[in-house]
Amino acid sequence: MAEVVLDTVSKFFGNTTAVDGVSLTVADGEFMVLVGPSGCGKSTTLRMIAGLESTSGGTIRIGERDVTRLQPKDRNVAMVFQNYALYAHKNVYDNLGFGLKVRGTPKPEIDERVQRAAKMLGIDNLLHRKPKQLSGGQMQRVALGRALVREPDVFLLDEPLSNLDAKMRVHMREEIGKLHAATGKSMIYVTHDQIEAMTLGDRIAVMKDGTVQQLGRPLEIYDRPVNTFVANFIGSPEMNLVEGELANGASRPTVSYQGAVLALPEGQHHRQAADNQVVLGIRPEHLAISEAAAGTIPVKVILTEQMGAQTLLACQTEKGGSLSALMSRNDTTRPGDIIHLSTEPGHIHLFDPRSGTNLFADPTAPGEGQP
Amino acid sequence: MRQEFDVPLINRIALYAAMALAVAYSFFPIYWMLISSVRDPQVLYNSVDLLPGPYSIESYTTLLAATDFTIWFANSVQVALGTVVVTLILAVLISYAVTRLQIRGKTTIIGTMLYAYMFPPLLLAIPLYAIFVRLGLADTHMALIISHTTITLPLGVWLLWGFFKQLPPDVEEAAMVDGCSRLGAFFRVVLPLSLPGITTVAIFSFLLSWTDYTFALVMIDSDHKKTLPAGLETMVGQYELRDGELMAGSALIALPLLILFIFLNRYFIHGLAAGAVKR
Repeated sequence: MAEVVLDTVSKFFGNTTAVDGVSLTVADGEFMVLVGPSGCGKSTTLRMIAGLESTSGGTIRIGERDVTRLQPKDRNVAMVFQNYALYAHKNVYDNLGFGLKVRGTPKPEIDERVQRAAKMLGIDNLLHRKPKQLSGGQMQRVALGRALVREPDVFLLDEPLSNLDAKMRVHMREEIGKLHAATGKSMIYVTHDQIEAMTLGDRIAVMKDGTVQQLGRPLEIYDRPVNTFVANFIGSPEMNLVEGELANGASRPTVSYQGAVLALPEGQHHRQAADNQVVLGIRPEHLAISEAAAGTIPVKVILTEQMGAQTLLACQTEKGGSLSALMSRNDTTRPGDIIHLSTEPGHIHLFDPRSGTNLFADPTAPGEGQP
Repeated sequence: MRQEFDVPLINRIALYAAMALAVAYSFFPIYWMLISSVRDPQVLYNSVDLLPGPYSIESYTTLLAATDFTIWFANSVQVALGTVVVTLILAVLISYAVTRLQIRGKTTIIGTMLYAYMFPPLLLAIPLYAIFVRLGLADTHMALIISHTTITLPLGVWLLWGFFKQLPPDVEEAAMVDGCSRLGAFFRVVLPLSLPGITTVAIFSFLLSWTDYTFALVMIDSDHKKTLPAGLETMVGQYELRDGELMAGSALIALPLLILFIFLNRYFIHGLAAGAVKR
């Protein structure tokens, strides 16, 4: 059992608050991703779990033990660093075995565990090389292996893929996923890359300004972001966030955007916003080209970006508002074309313009009924 | 076209000429020292031939037989090694502390140390001597070691500070997560990785202590406690102008340094370069 429990954990650097009362429970065997922009406190949170930073407040528990005041070496965690942090003066074998040797593990056991981890990561032919003779991907494998050999309660990974090239990153992402499946150990993974977060995490904690904005399963967060920050941060290309106005139409509630009146999902209650002003959120992939009709938004295509399987259209409304829409690659729209964009009621998100919070009383509403 | 090819060639020739001149300028005294030390003392004053010979090791044998050269040599080794040890221990601890730990005014600490380095040795030597007399350390090798450390320590801290700043803290942190205490991580990871920097500081300290004349002259009175440079100086008055022996003595002073450089050259250059580059 190695559940990790953070209870109102804070960290202050002088007058700066890096982490502000974060409470989080990582279940035994769970893959938890802390994601957010630089300076959001995700790395500091991870470093506090490792014991590399002291906490300014709150407690951290790993399994049954309160580790808040323990030294890193006494926490039985293993960490993988962004720049690998290999011991340059030791060869791969000694890098892998270092943690065991320090702890006085008998030599035959060290050898067996090192060989097993090396085989698992496909680095068993590199054991006698020095780190500087390795490629980036190989170094990252060694760094992973060093953590693996330790058989810790929890794996902590601090942006482990950000120094790798795009292709290697995708490959290592898969490897880390497989490694998690194979070991069944809790992993806490810090990244600023929302795709890594979405693909790897059992659950994701989206962080900003030292607080957890939203905690949930990847698709939950994608479908039902609690505020404009999460809505904007998760999902690529970014969600369109534009100003709209709420109105009660004849048959159902609606929201108008620059003259276009869009229907909201029926039978769902949203909180009222002051002056009925709202921020309207629609993901680019939820916009479609349709015939001119009520409930569609007329736009001019400014730019088309071919991304391979899909094409991203950058569009402008008559009044100068910007919208981006994701189409299939077969779409024949050209810059300068006038098109009409439409969306499903269920794909519309409403946010309070001041606080940015999701206005649906039950923020699960917009996501329902989606494939 | 001709012009384009000719100009670089002329440049290159000029460059090589300048280099040859610089090398000749630096090495001629050493060359002269070496050939004079192995020249037959009979012709030492009659011939100013640039070429060596006639050969004789008489200067060396006289030097070793008629002076306390071996004692001075042993003293110099003792003082230089002492200086290296004291400098390394202090410089490593101080520079590591100012690099990694949260210490108030750490740039001031480094700044003040470098400021101390700017004083000419003679300016420090006299007040230091007064202090050593009070402490009962006058005319001891310990006094000389402490005096030499005033020069070697600021340089050592400066060099190692640059070196430690370059070492990513992640590596120590990895060691701490792997099971080391901070001190354990320091000994098992930081020290081995800093070997080039530490070697550089060791060579510098040895060199400064080994060749020091000013402090040796002020601090040590007894002949049998003198170090090599101060000891050789006594020969000038004692035996009048014994150039052959002086050159032989100087050659023997230079020899250990030469050997040190040949063996540690690789670390030395690496350490200097590493300390120089900012991250």
